Amino acid sequence: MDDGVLGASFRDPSGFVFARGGVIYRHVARSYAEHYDHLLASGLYEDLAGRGLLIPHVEEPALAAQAPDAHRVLRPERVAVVSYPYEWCFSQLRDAARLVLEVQRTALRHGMTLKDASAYNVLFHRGRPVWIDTLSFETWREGRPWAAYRQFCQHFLAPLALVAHRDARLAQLLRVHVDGIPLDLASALLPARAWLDPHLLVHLRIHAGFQRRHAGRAGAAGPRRRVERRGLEGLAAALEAAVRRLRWRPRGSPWEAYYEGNSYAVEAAAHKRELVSAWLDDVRPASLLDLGANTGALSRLASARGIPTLALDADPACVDRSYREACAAGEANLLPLVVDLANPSPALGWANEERDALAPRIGAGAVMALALVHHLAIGNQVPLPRLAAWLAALGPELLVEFVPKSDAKVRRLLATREDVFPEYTREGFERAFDGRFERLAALPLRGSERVLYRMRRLSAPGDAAARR
Amino acid sequence: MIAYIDPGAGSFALQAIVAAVAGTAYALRSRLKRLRAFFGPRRPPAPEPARESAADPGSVARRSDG
Repeated sequence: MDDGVLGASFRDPSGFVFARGGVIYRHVARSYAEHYDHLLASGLYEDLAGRGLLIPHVEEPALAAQAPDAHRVLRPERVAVVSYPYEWCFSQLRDAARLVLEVQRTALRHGMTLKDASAYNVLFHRGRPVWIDTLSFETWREGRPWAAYRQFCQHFLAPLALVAHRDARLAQLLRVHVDGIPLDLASALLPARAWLDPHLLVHLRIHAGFQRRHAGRAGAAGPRRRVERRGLEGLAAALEAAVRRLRWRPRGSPWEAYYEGNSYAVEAAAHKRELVSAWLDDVRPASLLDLGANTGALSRLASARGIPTLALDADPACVDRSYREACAAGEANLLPLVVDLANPSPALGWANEERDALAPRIGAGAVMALALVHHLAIGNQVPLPRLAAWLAALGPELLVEFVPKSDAKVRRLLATREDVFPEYTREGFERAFDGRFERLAALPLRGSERVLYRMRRLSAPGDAAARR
Repeated sequence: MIAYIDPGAGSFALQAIVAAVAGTAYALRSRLKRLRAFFGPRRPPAPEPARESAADPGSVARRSDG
């Protein structure tokens, strides 16, 4: 992490986020002093932070003294992994939406309001969504409407409705539209039955119609519309009801049942758990990155050991199930995210600096790539040396599984492809990884022809710094 | 032309209507609840099974049955 102002916070006149010595700070501008003081004096901060809804912070008077235009400098509690809404599954986005509404309702009770409802102000911290922007609160002035109503609908309600009523893949529209899915687009994509839900009809479709009708009169918006506090409470309650009614029942995902039935031998599965457990106990990494984690059965071997674990998978149904299980069991160390490793999140937004690409956010002390290499090497035709280089960049310790061509899973991949992979052999695999890693052990998986390799990255300059 | 549109105007206009309706409904509901509590049979307050109360601090993140 470089020192300096971070790219995502340039829009807010109330302050900005900066890094110094690897620590994240929040600069509170003097112009925001009234609101910040009210946040604390009204008891709102304590109420929200005490319930885990707002990230707690400590004030840093010494740093504030160095910055002449600072009212305060805050050091918020560190969140291990920055994730974005286009990497969340349906249930994560839904929980984040409910968090935002609960924060708004609590703010109203303390005479304040949220001035934005950006999904990018929510992160997952110890397994739960938390509001991270301490400067989003404004003293509510009598009669003022909720400025973030439109943003809430675009960032949360529209994608949730699209997943619930149309297709889970549409959540990826958040990646294209940096300020949430335009309501006219959402309305055009939603099926007619979505409008049987009066909440969606009003907040999405009629909302889109109002935007269109008022667009021409942008300059003369007419008399200021007054909204009473009771109305704001009602609006938040109505939106909460709208979100609560949305359900997504994934069906027909081939991956979700991957570990069930006879997809691969029970013996091999049990042995794999043993090998992973032993590796974790030997390496004891500070954090783990599980690539192609499916529903997180093996990731949980790490998170249950108290290791903060990031479990990536491309299938939203698997991630949703993993997240729901984590919530039900109160697992604080596991964060499952929807990521297609063949096309990971790029850097987005203004100057490509607002949202970071995936790779710099996910580096870990150890990386696990089980039953993954054949998908990337054969399914996505990535040459093995490139695969090795990519894995080496993610962490110093590696547990990687090689699945040979004779394996049923690889045979299925090759059934519809020409075999243009002469290098895809155990020897070719080892050659490709030898340039980047030291092979510590090759462990044949019982009941299969697969091999699990324990590897350690060959040290390169600056390696010690990367080891976290 | 599109670039000069202020999509906020329509949102504010709709919000004024929605808030008026939802606010009245919200106020009526809470008044009804108070009336019921006053006139209803004396019994320990039920844990509101019908409404998943978002005021419950843990509910936001933990309840993810969807």
